[in-house]
Parts: sequence; structure tokens; C-alpha cells
Amino acid sequence: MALLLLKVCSVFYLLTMVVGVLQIVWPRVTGDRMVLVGFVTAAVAHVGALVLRAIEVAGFPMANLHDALSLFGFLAALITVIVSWRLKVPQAAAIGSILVAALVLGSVVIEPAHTIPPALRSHWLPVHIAFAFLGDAAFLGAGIVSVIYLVQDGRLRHKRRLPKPGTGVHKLPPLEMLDRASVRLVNVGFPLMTLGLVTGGIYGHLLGGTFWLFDPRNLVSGVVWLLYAVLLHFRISIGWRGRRLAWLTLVGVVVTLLAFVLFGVAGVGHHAGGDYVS
Amino acid sequence: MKIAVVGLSHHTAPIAIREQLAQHMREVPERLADFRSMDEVQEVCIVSTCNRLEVYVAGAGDVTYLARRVRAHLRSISGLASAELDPHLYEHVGVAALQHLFRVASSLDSMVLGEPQILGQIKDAFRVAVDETSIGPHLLRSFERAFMVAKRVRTETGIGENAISMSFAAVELGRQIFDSLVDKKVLLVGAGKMSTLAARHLMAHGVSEVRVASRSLATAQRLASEIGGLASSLTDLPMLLGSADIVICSTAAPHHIIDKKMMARVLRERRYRSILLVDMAVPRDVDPKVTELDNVFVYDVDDLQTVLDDNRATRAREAKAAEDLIEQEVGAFERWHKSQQVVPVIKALRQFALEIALKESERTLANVPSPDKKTIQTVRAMGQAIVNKLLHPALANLKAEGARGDPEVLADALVRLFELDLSRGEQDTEEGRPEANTGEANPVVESPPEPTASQRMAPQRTASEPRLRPALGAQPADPGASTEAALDEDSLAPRDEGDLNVVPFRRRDSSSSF
Repeated sequence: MALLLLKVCSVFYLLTMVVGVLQIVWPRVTGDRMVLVGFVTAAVAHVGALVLRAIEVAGFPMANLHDALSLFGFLAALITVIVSWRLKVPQAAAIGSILVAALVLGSVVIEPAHTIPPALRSHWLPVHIAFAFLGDAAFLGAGIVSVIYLVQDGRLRHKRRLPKPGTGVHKLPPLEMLDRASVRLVNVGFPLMTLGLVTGGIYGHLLGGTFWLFDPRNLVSGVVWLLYAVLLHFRISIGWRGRRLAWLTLVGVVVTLLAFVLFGVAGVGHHAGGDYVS
Repeated sequence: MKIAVVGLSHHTAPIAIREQLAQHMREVPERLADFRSMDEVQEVCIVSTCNRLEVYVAGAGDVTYLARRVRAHLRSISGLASAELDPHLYEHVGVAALQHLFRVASSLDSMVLGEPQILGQIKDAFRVAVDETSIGPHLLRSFERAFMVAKRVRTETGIGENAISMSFAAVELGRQIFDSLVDKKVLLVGAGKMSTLAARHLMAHGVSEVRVASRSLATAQRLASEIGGLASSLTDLPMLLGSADIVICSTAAPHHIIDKKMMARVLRERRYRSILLVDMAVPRDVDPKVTELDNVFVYDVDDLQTVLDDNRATRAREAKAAEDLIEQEVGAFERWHKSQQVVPVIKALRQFALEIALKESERTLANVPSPDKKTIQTVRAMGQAIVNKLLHPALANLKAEGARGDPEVLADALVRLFELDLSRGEQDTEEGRPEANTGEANPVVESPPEPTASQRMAPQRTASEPRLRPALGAQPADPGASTEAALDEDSLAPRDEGDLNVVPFRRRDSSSSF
């Protein structure tokens, strides 16, 4: 039942993505609101799917990569809606829709586990996942904003036409606003990620007696954490901003996402859902 | 028409070539003298703006040859090879040159269609040429007509309305970079007209501070007080750049005044906050290498054209109306010009007749014993009245024929019938007009003298700033504009006999009036 609803969800996300992409290519053909409306509809259905899944497994639904992708997909949808609504930039929703559709489709494709493995039946798990995923979602939002920043920056740098109604040139938010939004999201994401790492360490200590396991997923998280730490440091100390910052943010997001999916799919290391204690 | 124009503009030449030529044409008075020293050239005016450099000439010989000589001269001045320069140069002769001048003055050839600055720039160029005594009857008439046409275009078509000039582009670009313009600081580097206009636009959008930096503090202060800003010296430039958000450059400096090294240092100081540099100067004030830096956005005049491109399309309709109007004006001017071919004949005929009238009235007066003042006046007036009435139909027909462009038969007949000596009239033109206060001895002068070029320009020069702007907007209520219009009418409208006194514009000897 949960899976069926998730499939319906994924269809909605896909449609949203199609409209979003069309909107990027032909700005005048489709309305700005359609993407957002599609997103919200899909996200509401997604909440239902998540609740049903929790009931199904009788616990926090995080049995394997299926659940992980589904939940992260939902959070990504949420942050996309927030970003595109707050910045009044429908293109953000279009970019986000591609990612969300990919995540949720991935989730649908992977066979869900019927029961939660014993190692994952801990109260620390939802806490750790909440911090880690929310942190990652904030970074994802920062990543989307950074993409728009880079587009706008490139446009100004390459002296593209100014946006005017009826010319098919997208109106994008001013650089200053994008820069601020990106930094704000990183500012939110960084402490969340830190807490995610800390709770992960405690959780791991309870399970295996050690705070830090040298598995690839942990290593990548550590590197990304350092990257954002450096980024924030230079931002505060010498005022780094702009293109360089946008690229670094984007690198962090891409690395995080890749690690999330690749290590999950490949089943490498202790984060490969389901056999943590093996 | 004996005029020709050779030049290049943003339509035909990239900024690098324009810069190079502008560089060599900086000393306008000297360049004017250069051109005048050529045998073929009798009149010359150099129009040099951000976007164009044009040399208008008039001469006696074949205009096509004249244009070719000017082209060669430009090449030798610029030091560019003909293969480098020639593809970018355009030339127009005769009516086409006139039409080009009308189009340029009416801002139809501008980078930003309908922008108001160009007319003032041409007026300035014309004034310089007048000061250098480089203007003669041909260019005077053409330019004055162009000013009038430009004014008509502005008032009678919508082309000037909501003209998004390059100065407005600064506002648009600012909006792409900054959240809000309200708390932003604007720095004007150089006190050009363009930057002033840009500052006004930005102030209308609520920027918090406008600062003017100029090489001389006095200039900066003058402009600053005019637009309600603060003044600074150019020596503080790095510091000023540190606190500014939008910088508009328009200095006449021959080299870059903001280079990459300076900007990199400034960026560190301003903690990499974004900065918009609008470079309206040619040659450029901002080193193109500055664009390599992050968070610095540099727009030169070419870039501004690129980003504003779409305005042209939306105003194409108004442009069409303006083009039609210009077409019409060119036709009218051409007809009037043709009618002027009969001027020497008319002059000679009038002079011939008036001399007889004078002689006969003096002889009559000699027979009157002790004539009083009134009698003398009455007799002389009668002589003149007879001449005027007698000649009127003949002259009217001759002029009508002239306007149709084929006056030779009638003119020839008149010359032969009255044995007119045309060279006398010509001589009169070249030597200068008899002074008006010698009227007793020279009753030939029968109409109020047309204002000479210098007289016409003088009031504009003394109060150029306040006078020019309303004139550009062509407010009919403005006394300055209407006076100007009246002057235009005086000098240009194809009127009756009074118009036919050709004024000696090229008075190299007179130092007092220029």
C-alpha cells in the first residue's frame, strides 16, 4: 500500500519535472505556479506514503536504501519548495524537481525491506537520521541556489540580454539575494550536519563500541564537513563570497549526494542499510 | 549638396578600433586645422562621442573625391593600415550625408535608440568647429537643420519617450546584482554628461549616496552640487571604490584608470562584496582584465548595447515614424538647396536694379533745392519700392523654377538680358558683408542682417547647461527653445528676398567676435 502510494507520488514528481524542464526551456509556454502546485501535491501524497510505510514496519521507516531515498526525496522536495517560494524563482523548483524525481524513482525501484533489522531498532536512529538528512537537505537547497547564482553570475559576466517581459529571458533573483540565501542555508545545514555526525558517533559507540568507523561514507561526510567548515570560516574571516563560494557549495552537495546514493547502492561499508552490525 | 561624411560607429567598428581612432582625434581643434589644411576641404566638423567618430566636410570639388581624401587622412592620423580601418569606415556624400546627419542627430543611429545625449554632443561638436572657424554655409545650414529635425523627431514621434538610455542600463544591471538599490552607494568617476544622467536615474531609484570624483575637485564639486551629491578628488579612487556599489566611469583619460591590481586590492578591502562598474568612457577607463575578477561586473558601451538589445525591436514602430519624418525633411532641404542655386543670379539682378534706383534717386534729390530729411527718405524709399515691385514676379518665378531643380534656362536668360555680372555677387560673399551702419552709403542692404554663426552660438555658449537640456526636450513653452526655433526659422526657412543675403561665416580675420 505504501509502495503503491509512493509510485503515485513518483508519477507526480515526474510530471512536475517535465513541466519544470519545459519551463526552463520555454519560459512563456508554462505557468510559474504549475511546478509548485505539482510539487506540493506530490509532497502531500509523499507524507501519506511515509506514514503508511512507518505503520507497515511498525517503527521508524529506515530499513534499507529504499526508505532512505524516499525520506531524503521528501526532504529535498520540501527544501525545493521553500527555496523557490521564498526566492520567488520557479527555476529552483524545476532544478529541484529533477533531483527529487530521481531520488523517488530510485526508491521505487529498490525493493523495500519487510522488517527493520534489529540493529536499526534504536531511538538514536531517528535522531541521527533527522539531523543528517535535514543537514543534507539544507545543503541541497544551498546547492540549488548556488546553481542559480552561477547562472545569473555567468549571465552578467557574459553580458547576456537583460530579462524583459516577452523576450523569453528568465528573470532571476539578484546575486546578492542568492548569495545570502545560499549562505543562510549552509549556516543552517552545517550545525545540523555536525549534530548528525555527533549523534552518529554516539549511536555507533552504542552499537560497536567505537565513535568513528573508517567506512567510506563516514570519510566522505568528514571531508564534506571540513569543506563547509573552511567555507564558513573564510566567509566570516575575510568575507569570501560569490562565484567561488557557489562552486564550493555545489561541490559539497554533489559529493554528499553521490556518496549517499553510490555507497548505498553498492552496499559498501557500515552505512549500507540493513547490515550495519554484520 | 557639397557635403560628405566619413566615419565609424558602434554599428561598424568594434570598441578597440573606435578607441584607437578616438585617441588620435582627441585634440579636436588641431584635427580640424589638419583637415582644413587639405586643399579640397573648405568646411569641417568632427563629431566624436563614445560610440562614433565622424568627420563632416564640405568642399568645392567632387564630393566623392572629397570623401576619399578624408578617408585617407583618417587612416594616416590613426596609423592603422587600410585593411584594418577601411572595413569599419562608412562614407556618405551629398543628400545621403545630410540624411545620415539628420538620423544621427535624431538619435536613430544611436546605440540606444532615441537616447537624448547625442543631440547635445553634436551641438558641442558643432560649437567647437564654429569656434575654430571651420564652419561655412554648407555645414552651418546642414547642422542647424539637423538640430531642428532632431527636435521635431523628439516632439512628434514617441522615440524619445521612455528612452531607456545607457544611463538607465546602470539601474537595470544594478537590479540584477543588488537586492535593493536603496542602501547602495554610487560613485561617478569623471563628470561626463552621461554619468550625470545615470546618477539621476539611480537617485530616482533611491540610492543612498552619490559621490562625484573628478580630477579637479572644483569640477567634482560643481557637478556634485548640481545633482545633490558629494565631491571627492580622483586621487582617493581606491578608497572610494572600496565603499561604492555602483561605479560609473566617464573620464576623458587616455588610459585605464582602474586596473586589475587596484581592483583586486579594493575587493579585499570591501570583503568581496559585489561591485558594478559601468564604463561609459571611450577610451575605456576600466582595464578589460578587471572582468577576470570575481564579484566585479564591468560593462563597457558595447556590453551595454548587448544587454539592451531588445529595446530596439519594441520601438521599431516609432523609429519608422521618425525615419519617415527625416525622409520628408531631407526632401524639403534638398528642394530648398536647389532653389539656392539661383541665389547669385537673384543677388546680381537686385544689386543691378538697386544701384540704378540709388543713382537715379540721388540725381533726383540733387535737383531738389535743399531737401529735408523726410524728402530724402521718401525719394530713396520710392526707388527701392519700384525695384522690389518690378522684380518680384520675375524673382518669384525664378525661385519656383529653382525649387523644381531646373532653373538654368531662366537664370541664363536673366543674365543675358540684363548683362549681369555674377562674379560681383560672389566677391561680395567672400569678402564679407558691408557693415550695417554704413547703410547711408550702401542702400543695397534692405533686410535685417541674419545673425552670424558666432552671434547665434554666443548665448548658448554662455549658458550652455541650463539652455541645452530644455532645448533637447523641446518644450514649446521654454523661452530658450523657442528662441532657438525662431533662429532656426530665420536662418533656414526658404523665405523671401531677405533670406538671400549670404553671410560670410568663415571670417578668419575677425578675432573679436569669436
